[in-house]
Amino acid sequence: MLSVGVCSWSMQSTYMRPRSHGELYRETLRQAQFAESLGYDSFSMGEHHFAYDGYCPSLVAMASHLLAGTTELQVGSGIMILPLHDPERVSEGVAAMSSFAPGRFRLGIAGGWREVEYLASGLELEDRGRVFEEYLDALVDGEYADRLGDAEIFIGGAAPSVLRRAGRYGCSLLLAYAGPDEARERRAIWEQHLRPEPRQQPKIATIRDVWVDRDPQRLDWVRARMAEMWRFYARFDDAKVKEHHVPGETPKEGVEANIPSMMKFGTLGTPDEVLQELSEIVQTGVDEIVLRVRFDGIEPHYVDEQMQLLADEVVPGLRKLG
Amino acid sequence: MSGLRLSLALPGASAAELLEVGRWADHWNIAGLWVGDPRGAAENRSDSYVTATAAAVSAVTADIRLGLFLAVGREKQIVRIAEDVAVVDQASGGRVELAFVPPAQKREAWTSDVARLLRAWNAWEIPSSDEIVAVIPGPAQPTLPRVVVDDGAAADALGAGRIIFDGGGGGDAGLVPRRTVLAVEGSFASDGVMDWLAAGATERVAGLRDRARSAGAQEVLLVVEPGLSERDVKALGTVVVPALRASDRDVRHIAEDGWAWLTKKAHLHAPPG
Repeated sequence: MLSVGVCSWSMQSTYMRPRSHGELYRETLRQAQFAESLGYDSFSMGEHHFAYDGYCPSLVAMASHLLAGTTELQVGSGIMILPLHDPERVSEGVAAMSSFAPGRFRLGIAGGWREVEYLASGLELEDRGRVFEEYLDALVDGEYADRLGDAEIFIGGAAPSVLRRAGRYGCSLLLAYAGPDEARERRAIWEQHLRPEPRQQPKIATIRDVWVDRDPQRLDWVRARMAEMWRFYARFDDAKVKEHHVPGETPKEGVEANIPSMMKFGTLGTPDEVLQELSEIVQTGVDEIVLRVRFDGIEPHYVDEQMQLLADEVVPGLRKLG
Repeated sequence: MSGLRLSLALPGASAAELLEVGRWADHWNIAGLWVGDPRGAAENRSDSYVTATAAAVSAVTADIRLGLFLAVGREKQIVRIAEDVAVVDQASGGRVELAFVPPAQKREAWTSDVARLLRAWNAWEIPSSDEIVAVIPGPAQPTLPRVVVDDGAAADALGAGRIIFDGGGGGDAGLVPRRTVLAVEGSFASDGVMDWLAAGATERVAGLRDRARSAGAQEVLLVVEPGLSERDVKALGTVVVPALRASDRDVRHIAEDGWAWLTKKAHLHAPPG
């Protein structure tokens, strides 16, 4: 049966929605409980460090908070920037969660890209692949594997080296922003390198930005808000401008020029249109589709509406396919 | 002295057990639950286990304070501990308190690391650079209450209070203006608190209160083995907490009345049927 999750909570207080972090953390627990009540299978967050908006830097602690406040929902650190976290610390946090919510935490990991996070952690950005593999090895096959227990590991990324690594370690794959063709291509590379006896039955999950609305004006509004979000992220690396772009595309000069390609990540439309587009991705054989419904700065009652509308009018159709 | 607070610690307990004890403590008017081990030896004491557990307890409680026993280990991860602490404080609505557990050796370097941790929410120096960043979000509280376990010099250096062990010296604590917590180690198997009180509730509680007063403490931290029952926590909240808060003239009869209410007047706790 297809799993359906929601993401991507990060507890940011941006210029688009300046709120106290106390409010944002309370809101996140309430929305996790709401997602659970609607029947979603998973709830995922994201991580960054030293950002002015307080982008959540501590996903293990927050996941533990959410797991204690829910009963069945899987909570994911999708994505934790693994090289910034000592694997012993990761495994200890996971052990704490496993004691009261066994099998409900999923460790989503990737290498990150923001230089300041590495430098302030005593690392160089170019070391991320090496450190990632060293820490992953310690968690999957090394001294912390026992403490990690049955937590599922999802590795995020699109680069062939990442897909091969996920396969070699027998980890699940978290496809970010992949259409049907990309999903098939990335799956093939991962499967080709999949170890014969993985620690768990590995899965493939894919994330998709989604917004459902029958009102064209509101769809235009959310497109503009998404564009503003991507503009914001283009300037996220402090002094530098990151050229966000679709994996595989050549980055264009300047912030504004790349925004249209970033908008390709979104599936926006009426419930029927969204169902149709997501069905094509589900039919590639993914085990889970993670619907990104929480965009920076959008008020929580709109996000609640989205979760409700998707649960009522899109998710049942997707589950029939899976 | 009056107004003593009573908190609990269960070194070695799993997060699952602490979640349950946290719920009971919140319900039965215990001031705080301290997560981890003040001796730095029990299982489940690592800083990451402690912060993850406290974050979980905060989701199922509303009022109790959440104490974190932190060892602050390897230098590289200090900033991650600062992030964890801040997130737990935010998620709990500002209920975090810190207790630093010094290592046996190299205490000066350790004290310096703890000081860096406490600065990280305002200034974290990027190594080999003059650039400074900050851990954001910082804690919800502008200054986190902090104590150091059994090390007056480190406490002075960090502007922190102290946790002293009952019977372990530290009798000058009454002269220290900063917060002092008296850690009383006990072994309560299931229903052990009831047994302890049954042997003489008035004397036991008055004695505990006298020891706390002699130590100059504002808080008594009961350090007990895992396995506490809700009956134990209810007994602490009903008998010990009110008596510790009472004035000299009231302490004995408050303890007597609380014990009688708990053991002889159960028929009055709820209406018939």
